[in-house]
Amino acid sequence: MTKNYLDQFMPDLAAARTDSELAEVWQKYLSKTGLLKLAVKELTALSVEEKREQGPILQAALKEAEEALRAKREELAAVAMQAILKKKAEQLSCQPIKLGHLHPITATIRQMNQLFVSMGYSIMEEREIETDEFCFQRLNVPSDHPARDMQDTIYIEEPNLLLRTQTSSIEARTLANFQPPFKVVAPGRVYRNEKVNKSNHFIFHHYQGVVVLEKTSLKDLFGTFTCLFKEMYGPDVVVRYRNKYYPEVEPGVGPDMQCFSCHGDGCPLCKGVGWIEMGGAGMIHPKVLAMAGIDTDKFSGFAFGLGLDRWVMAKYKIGDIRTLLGGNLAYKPQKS
Amino acid sequence: MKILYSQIKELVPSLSAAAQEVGEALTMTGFMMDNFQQVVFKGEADQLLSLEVRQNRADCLSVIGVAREVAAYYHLPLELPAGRSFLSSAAALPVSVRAVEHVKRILAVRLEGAANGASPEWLVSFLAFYDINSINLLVDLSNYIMLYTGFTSHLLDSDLVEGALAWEVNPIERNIQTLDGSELALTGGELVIVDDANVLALAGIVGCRSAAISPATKNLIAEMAVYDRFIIKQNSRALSVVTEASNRLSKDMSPAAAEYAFSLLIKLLTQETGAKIVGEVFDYYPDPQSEVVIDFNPELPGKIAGIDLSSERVREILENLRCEVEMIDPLSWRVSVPEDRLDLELAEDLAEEVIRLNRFDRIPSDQLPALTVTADITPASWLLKEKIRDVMVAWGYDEILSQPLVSAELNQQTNWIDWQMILTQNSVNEEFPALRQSVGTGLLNELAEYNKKQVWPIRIFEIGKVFGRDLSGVKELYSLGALWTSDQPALPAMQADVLRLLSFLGVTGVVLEPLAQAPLAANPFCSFAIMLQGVAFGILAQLKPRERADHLYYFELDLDKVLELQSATHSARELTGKLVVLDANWERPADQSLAQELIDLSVQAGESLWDLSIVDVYPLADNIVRYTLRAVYAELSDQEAKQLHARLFSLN
Repeated sequence: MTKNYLDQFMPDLAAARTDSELAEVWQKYLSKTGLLKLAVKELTALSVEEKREQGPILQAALKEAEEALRAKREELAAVAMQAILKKKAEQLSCQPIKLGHLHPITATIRQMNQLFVSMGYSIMEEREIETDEFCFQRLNVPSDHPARDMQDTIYIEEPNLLLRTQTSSIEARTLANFQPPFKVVAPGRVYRNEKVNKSNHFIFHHYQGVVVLEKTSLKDLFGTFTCLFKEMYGPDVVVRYRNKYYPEVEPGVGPDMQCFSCHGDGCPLCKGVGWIEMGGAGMIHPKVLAMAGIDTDKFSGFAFGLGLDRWVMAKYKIGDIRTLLGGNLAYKPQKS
Repeated sequence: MKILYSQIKELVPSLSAAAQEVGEALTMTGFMMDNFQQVVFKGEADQLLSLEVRQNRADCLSVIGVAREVAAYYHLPLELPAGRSFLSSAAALPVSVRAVEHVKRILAVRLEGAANGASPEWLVSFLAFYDINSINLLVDLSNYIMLYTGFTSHLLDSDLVEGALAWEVNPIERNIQTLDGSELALTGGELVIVDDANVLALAGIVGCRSAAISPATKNLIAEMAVYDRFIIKQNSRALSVVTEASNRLSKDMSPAAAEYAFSLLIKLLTQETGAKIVGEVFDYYPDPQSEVVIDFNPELPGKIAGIDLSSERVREILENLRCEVEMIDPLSWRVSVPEDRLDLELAEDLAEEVIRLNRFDRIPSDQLPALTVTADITPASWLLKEKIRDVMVAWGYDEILSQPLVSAELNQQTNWIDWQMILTQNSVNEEFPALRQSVGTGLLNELAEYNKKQVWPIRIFEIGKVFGRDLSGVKELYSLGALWTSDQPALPAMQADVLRLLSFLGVTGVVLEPLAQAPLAANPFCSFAIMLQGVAFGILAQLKPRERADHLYYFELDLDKVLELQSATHSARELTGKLVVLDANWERPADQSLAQELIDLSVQAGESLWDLSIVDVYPLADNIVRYTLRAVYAELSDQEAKQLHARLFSLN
């Protein structure tokens, strides 16, 4: 009798495809008025011996049926969830979630920061309205020095205050504010009094590095720079270092990268020389260290500065420098 | 500086390196070759090298200077032409120097019987390489000497000079006419050469029509001077006159080395024009240049370069540079510097010379420095900004950067801080005279540009400096601004962004208060100050409709204040017992803020309160709202937690 019910129950359960069909199966067999539950009630009419014989069989059948029902319920729930997920995925692929973007300058700074932080550098930032002292004098560029020829400065309507022309001012502040040894990089915005056009802007972005240790050398500077170039341009990049003049360093260094367009043969991009100037660097001038009160017998250091805008323009194929500071820079939406 | 390869060979006859190789060597040692041309000079194939000369090497703005570099690099002898020897005195000519603070040296001589006329072809073509037009033989020879030696000279027709020559600071406003016929308005303060009647030259910059050399000139005065470079630079910039002469004399030139250049000038003038020297050479030289001797440790170049450099190699390079080396002991040298090298003052200057002539490419560039552990001094403000960028990007905002120099009008549209605008003194970009007071300036500009290009919808942010002046002076602070366009009202959604962002940053308990004075761009009835503990540190506003945007929302936060307001409660804690969770109801008027009450309650509960949140809000009659608050207690027994809970919420 019970076996007959169970034999009926299993196919009915297997045939159920929805929660309501499953409920019907439960109603038919396992509810208070269900066939299996009624069979249990009918045990009371049997003799003691029959009860001892039929009771365990019936209980086992009931347990088997309830477990099968529970398993079926979980199976149907999983199928339903899969359907929901599939539908959701289809919706998401048709209407992608809006992604935000970092500005290319920020993204480039982060890439460089990541490298330098991995080498134990700190990241530094400083004021953009500077004093003549920290923008020039403490960098061995006195107010009447010919190096001033290289840069025209925007002054604000406040005595002796200007918009920093270089992130070297962060170097001067760091040297004055922190006791060596230290290693810092400092991305930042700088200002020059230039007319704005496709190639020039009065605002651009620099990336400064300053290292002051008990023992450091040009070899350390070159090794650091080469590592940076490889990080930014890949392992096959060719770099050369030549002597150059900057008042805040001695010796001064001009790092050049072999032109990635012509590979050294000369082309319009590199103005025919086969190399692209990538910034300035050098060993910090002993006068600069001394002005910051740093013991030059004990410590020495190197510094470097890079212009970020042209790197970013080349990387993102941006032809107009003004694009970087608004207007034409837009982010492509994610395609479905 | 341009230089013909044949001229280098003339001064360094044993040079065997080809022109291109010489250019590359000069590039690596500090004089970058930016152009290389095949040319014809004196009927023969030649090469013209164009070099960038370092700011502190005025001595190399000359053929001789560059040839000296080549000779030093290749360790070859330099053969300079002999000049014409002369006797000199301070009384040789009736010259008075009234601008004594600006004049370092004047050499001048009277010459008679010159046969002036057209210049020979070689001289005309030589000057053409430098874009200098041929004028006449006398003037061309003066220009040739400038290019050859770096020292500028000035020739005057002595028959046209009225009275005595004088160097003085121009005392009055007056106009002068330069050699090319241009009118210059002097305002006073310029260094000039005058006679008794006229201004003869703007000293060190350009000659005047008065007493100018003409094809008919037979008798002349030739002068060569070295000035204080600042007055030349100042005059040149003020009058917007830049010449080959001013370019050289606005840099440090050696007054001592002028003597050789002058001897070459008078040799050339007498040889080429047949002129005779009359009397002695006038020499005004009140403060003769001192010899520079530097104490030098020969290990210094190797130490700076990070490589081994032998003492022999160091000495060889210094001597190639014409330094005289006296060895006191193996590690203590005294090095005398050539008189034309005014850039060499310190031991480090000498070390740089050694390193650059040994070439930088002999220093390994593929070795990372040994790791030296140093303290992390990255400021918290940097980390805060990076975290904000990550959050904003994750929420679908695009980052923009904009220029901090803006129009005054745009500042008035967006400023929400109680401070004054800062203006620039001298920006060449007149339409952007002010420093921005809000990053909203850039966001609104970006909105307009995106609208033109139909980039829509817009959700952008910027983190950058804003500037202003208050009673304490000039201030600059970091600001975060975000702008959001929507098809429907969305101020509550932006409010949620602001509060969630602040919560992520550890700033909780923030309240919004109507803004007393909204920026012009904002809807004054829908502008709120973002406040904590009575301090306003941001703005949330609906902006007035503009472009295509009817629903335009904006918030800005003073990140310096956010940094100050960040709580220090994000610390780990050991939990030794179970948490006890208890609820309580508060009934409050619907328009009453709970923020301060919750803060007070948290303070009162102290360390035992693990968490406090509003889990239900139910409106009752008479504009009353019932809030269900859930308090979670830590490290208390059930009984202790209930007692504290009852006390905090006045449940008894």
